[in-house]
Amino acid sequence: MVFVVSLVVSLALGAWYNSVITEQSARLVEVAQSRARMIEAIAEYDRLDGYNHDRTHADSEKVTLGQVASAHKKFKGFGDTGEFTLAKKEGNKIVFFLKHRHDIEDIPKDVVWGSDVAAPMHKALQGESGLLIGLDYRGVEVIAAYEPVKLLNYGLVAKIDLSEIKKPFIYRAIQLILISITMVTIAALFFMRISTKLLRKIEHDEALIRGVIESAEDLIFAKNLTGQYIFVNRAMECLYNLPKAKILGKTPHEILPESLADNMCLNDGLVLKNIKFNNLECHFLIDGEIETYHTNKSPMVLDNGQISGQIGVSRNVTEQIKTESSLKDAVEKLDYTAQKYQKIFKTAEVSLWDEDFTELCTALEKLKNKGVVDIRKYLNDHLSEAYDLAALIKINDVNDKTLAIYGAKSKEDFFNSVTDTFGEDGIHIFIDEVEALWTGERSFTAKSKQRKVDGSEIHVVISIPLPKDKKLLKNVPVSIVDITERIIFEQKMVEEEKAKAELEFIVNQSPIVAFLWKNKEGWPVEYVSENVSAWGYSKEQFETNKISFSDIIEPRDLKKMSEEIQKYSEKYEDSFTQEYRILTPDGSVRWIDDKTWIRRNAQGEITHYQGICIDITEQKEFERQLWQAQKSESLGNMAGGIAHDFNNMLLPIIALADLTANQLEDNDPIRKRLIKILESGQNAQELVKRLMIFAREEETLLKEVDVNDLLASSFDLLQATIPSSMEITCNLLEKNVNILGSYAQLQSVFINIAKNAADAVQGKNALLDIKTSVVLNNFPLLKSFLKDGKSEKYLHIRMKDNGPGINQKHLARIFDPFFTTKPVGEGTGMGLAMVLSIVSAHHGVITVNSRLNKGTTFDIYLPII
Amino acid sequence: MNEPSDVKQQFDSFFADRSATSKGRVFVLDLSPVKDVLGDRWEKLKQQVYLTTSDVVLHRIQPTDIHCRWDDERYLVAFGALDQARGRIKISLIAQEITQRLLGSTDQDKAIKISMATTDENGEFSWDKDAAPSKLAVEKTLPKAPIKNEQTKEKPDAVGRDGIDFVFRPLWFVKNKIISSYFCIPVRDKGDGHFLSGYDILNDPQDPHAITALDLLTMKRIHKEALALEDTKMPALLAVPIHFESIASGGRRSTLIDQCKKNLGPHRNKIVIELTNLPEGIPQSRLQDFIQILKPFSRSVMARFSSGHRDFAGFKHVGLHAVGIDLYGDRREESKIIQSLEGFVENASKLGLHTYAHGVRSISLTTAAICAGIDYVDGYAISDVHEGARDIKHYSIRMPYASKYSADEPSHE
Amino acid sequence: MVKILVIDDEELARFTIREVLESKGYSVLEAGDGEKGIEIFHSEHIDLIITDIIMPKKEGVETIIELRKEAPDLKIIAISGGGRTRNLDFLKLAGEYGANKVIAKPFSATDLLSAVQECLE
Repeated sequence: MVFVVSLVVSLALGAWYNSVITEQSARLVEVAQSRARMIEAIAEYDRLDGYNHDRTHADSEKVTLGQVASAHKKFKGFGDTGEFTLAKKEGNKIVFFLKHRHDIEDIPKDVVWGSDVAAPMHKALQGESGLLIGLDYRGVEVIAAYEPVKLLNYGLVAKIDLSEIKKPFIYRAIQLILISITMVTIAALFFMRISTKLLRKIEHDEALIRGVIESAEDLIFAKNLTGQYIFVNRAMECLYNLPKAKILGKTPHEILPESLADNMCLNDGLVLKNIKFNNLECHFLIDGEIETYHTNKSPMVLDNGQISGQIGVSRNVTEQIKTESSLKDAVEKLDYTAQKYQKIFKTAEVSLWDEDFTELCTALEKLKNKGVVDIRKYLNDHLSEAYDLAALIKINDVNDKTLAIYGAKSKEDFFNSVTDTFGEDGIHIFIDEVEALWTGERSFTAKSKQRKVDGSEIHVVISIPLPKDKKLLKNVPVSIVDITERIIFEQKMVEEEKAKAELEFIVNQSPIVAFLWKNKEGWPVEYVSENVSAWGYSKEQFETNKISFSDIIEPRDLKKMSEEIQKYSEKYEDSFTQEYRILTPDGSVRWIDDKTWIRRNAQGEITHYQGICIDITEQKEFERQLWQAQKSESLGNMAGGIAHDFNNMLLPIIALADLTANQLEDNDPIRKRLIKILESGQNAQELVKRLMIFAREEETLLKEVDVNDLLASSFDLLQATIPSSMEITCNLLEKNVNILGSYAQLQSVFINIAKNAADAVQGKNALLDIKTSVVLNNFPLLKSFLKDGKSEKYLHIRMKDNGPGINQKHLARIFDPFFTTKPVGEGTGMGLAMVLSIVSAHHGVITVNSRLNKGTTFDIYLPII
Repeated sequence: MNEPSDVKQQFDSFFADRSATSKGRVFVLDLSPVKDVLGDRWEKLKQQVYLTTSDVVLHRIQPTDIHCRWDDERYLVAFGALDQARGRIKISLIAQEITQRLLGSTDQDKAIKISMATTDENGEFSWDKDAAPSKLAVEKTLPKAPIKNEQTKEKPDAVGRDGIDFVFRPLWFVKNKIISSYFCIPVRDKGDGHFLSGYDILNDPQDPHAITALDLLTMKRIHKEALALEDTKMPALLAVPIHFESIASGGRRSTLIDQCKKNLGPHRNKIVIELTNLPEGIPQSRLQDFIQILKPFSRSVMARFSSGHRDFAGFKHVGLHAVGIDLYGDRREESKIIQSLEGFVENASKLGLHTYAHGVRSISLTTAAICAGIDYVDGYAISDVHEGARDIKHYSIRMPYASKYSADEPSHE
Repeated sequence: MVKILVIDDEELARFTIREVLESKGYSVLEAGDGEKGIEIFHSEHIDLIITDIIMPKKEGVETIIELRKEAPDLKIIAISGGGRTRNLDFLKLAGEYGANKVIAKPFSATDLLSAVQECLE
């Protein structure tokens, strides 16, 4: 230690020394150089000055020297031994100019050039500049910076005695060495004292350990490499029932029966290979009992890593094992039960709450002790106490179903809002619950209205088994069943019954016929309102299934109807509207407007259709008429524009064809063609004329027309113009009236209709019957149609033939202009269109009815003035 | 005034094929008010001004129109396909818009001025720097027809209620052979036996305020006449013109409605309203708007369109009873007019609309109009104007001949 | 040589009528409107005038009235086809105002010629 310390110190000092030297050197060099420069400067100045005063250089030099010397006198030097020297080489001498510090004399002694003293000055006078460690003019070792003074050729040296620099270091070194020695000594002393204590401790501990090992119940032993026991504790002695001496030095095989010894030496080989073993099991038969031991063996390793043997510790774990296994059984059993319970709790379809009633029961006890007898009355009178009691119930847990029922996202969510779930009757249910507890009932059930977490209402049945055993109070399973659906359903049923009754009442009062059809083939009627009698059918006929609804539907509409119903049903519409025709018992057709609602069951299947039907026959008729009129009107509007151009276009065709034809010979084939052109043109002209009627640009002059007069003359006209094979009958009015109209036009009406009839019948036994009468303007058809139906009375002309009738498809179109069923070239299809136009112009109405093979009837109504 | 030759050319060619109708179609937008307002900044901002002006003009004109910047402060705009009245309105709207965009105000004093260019017989055009808008009222005298009184229009001296008179022009319901309605027309006596009539009597016929004022004034007169008719128990109808300007803007509209209520409301069964000056291509909804507003005060509403208008879709549906044209200002050849009549009527009547024509000025036009199917006609070929509505009178297709030719009437009627 | 003046604003109509008339050797002059027609009438000797009703500048009835005033003996045939409506009424009116014959368009050559012949007799 001492050595080390000294070494360190010396090194430190050495480094320090070097740095000081370096520093000093640098300083010296600096100083020397600056001084030399300064002297140079002064010399130069003096020289220059000398020029002015006519001085010689030598004199100037003297001046300079003088100045330098006087300055030098005032300068003692630096440090203890530091000084400047200034010298010149004269001959073979070095002449010093400045007083040396170390000399007493003012004038310094000369030095012989080339001697081994004044080494730095020698250098300086040789014009060199630098630093050296050498002998100065005294022969003392110095560190010196030398610098030549130019101009004057002097030398300047700045130096310090080396000893000055060295001195401090030596002191320091001695000091430090002394210190370090002291310190080391002290440290050593301390160390010795401590280690002694430690050793003693160790010894003590060793003894302790030994004691422990010896007295341990566990078997502790150590064996050497050859398996011989080198150490055994007392327990081992007991086990083997041998004293230590008899065991040590022997292997287990020398002591125990083979199998046992084998067991004891289990894995020894491996242990000696530096492998530890824990919990090696072996069994001994001791006192007739099998004892189980667990052994831990590990190798003994020397400092150098060699294995010298093994140590082992063996524990009797017999009891332990026993205990463990019975514990395990118990735990398993418990676990199983718990799991089962958990499972039930979790997965129950019923909301289960695991509640702790202990505090509640305690509180109830207190109340009993206080003397409360009728708990119900008490709580009703002290509702706040009831609430307090309710708060005593702790909820341990709830199952998933609970979350589902109450709409809670998580248990946390639920627990936060559990108080919100209780309905207004909650507290009263609770009081009932408490009463049940109080009176020792075995269980408690109640219906209640509660709320879900989101505030919506649910109906529940609460059922709680009330345990007598205090221990079980901790986990009371409360089950809650959601009966909302059922309740709502019941409510709905009641409402529905009421609604149904109301509806029936309303429906039976109105002309709207209400139906409830089953969603089965043919739409059997489950219910129909009384007023179906207006259609000619009775309620019984439908409801007893004598007729189903499809039976009364016009066959042609049946397909469309079912298709439509299909479509709407698929589209999941709630309701839809249809129009179709039905046949009344007497065979007449009525248009029905039907609005139907679809009734589905909970599965979404359609069970019924519910509908209200209105008879719109008259409206339909009206619509048709209106449509007819519109068609004619628009045609008329078009016609006007066409006619003009048309006439102009026809002129050349007709005139020039005619002209050219006349210019040809009769037998000229071209002539024939031209005549055809002419005829065609003229036909076109006719057509245009007829079109113009629709344009109604021709003025219809309406005059008062005597009806009977009209009828008579028309009759004559008909007789004259209609084929005689047709018999025409006509009656005159009993009481003659006048209408406002155009004679000619009205006649053409008769003629056109008659002509049609004649064409249709085409044969013998053709009959056309014209009946006339006066009717009042009081039936809906007329009323709805006539825009300016001011007249109270109308002339009704009915023209009926016994022809083949007109099929329904055509019937819709007979008033259309250009519509004709006649072959091309026969008839232009304008006849009835004109009739309609004329009747409209007379502010009248015309309708047509026809049945195949039953003939056609035209009804004309004209206002009577 | 310098005329850059290419612009002159442009305008010349413009006028070449429209010589007779050129007058009243060329306008000058005078930007000097803007210059005044901008003052020092004019030089800096004038490019911006030109840009804005061009922008607005380009937006508003049709391919048949021309425009160009004439000089530092003036823009020329010529409308190819509009008649004078439309042109006036359009240029007025353009000027307003430009003023609005440049100056942000619709202050009349600051508004861009408009003046009209005129051509003389040689087709040379020049315009008046004075830009007295009343110049717009100048019109060539109409050819021949001896009935003229309400024709020639010249500059009036002053505007204001004095001097404005009202006359009633009979409207012939052809099919029923009656004259049953009378149009109320404002007139101003020129002093030499001639009148200014119609909205030309205004100093500034583009001024919406003036137009509205005149509408209201006319309404008042109608009211007076209606009262008179009631007294005499004459069942004639009175037709009131209501201009687009009076009903289009919110402010003026409310005044209009008030006055309608006051003056027309009590007589609604006698009142027929004619909507005029409707802009080209007015949407149906707007029209419906107007009709809704006016219907409560009238028995029917008619609307005036250009004779080339063919699309009347939905008009009947929105409540319009009739659509019509004004031939007064129509300078085309009669054959052209007659041609367009048929098209107009055909399209209107196929949609159920009745038709009318103002200003049938010759018998040939009258006959053509009737044969085209126009339901109501008026004009000096039909009848003179009267000071007040008269009784309903019988008027057959002979009458125009009768009034024109005082010679022997045929023996039978 | 019988000179017939045909007044009609429709070129095609004038052509057609001309063809028909010339085939019978009549000489035909044409005018597109009543004004022109009267002008020609004043400058030529016309035996018969066939005039349409709806024409610009001066229509048929006007023309007939004027002509009648000037030449009460002049033979005039009024024709008409134009207009969406009512041209027959005007045709009728033409008859009342002095047309000797009225024929509605379109007419055949025969009809026209026989009418012309009747007038010229």
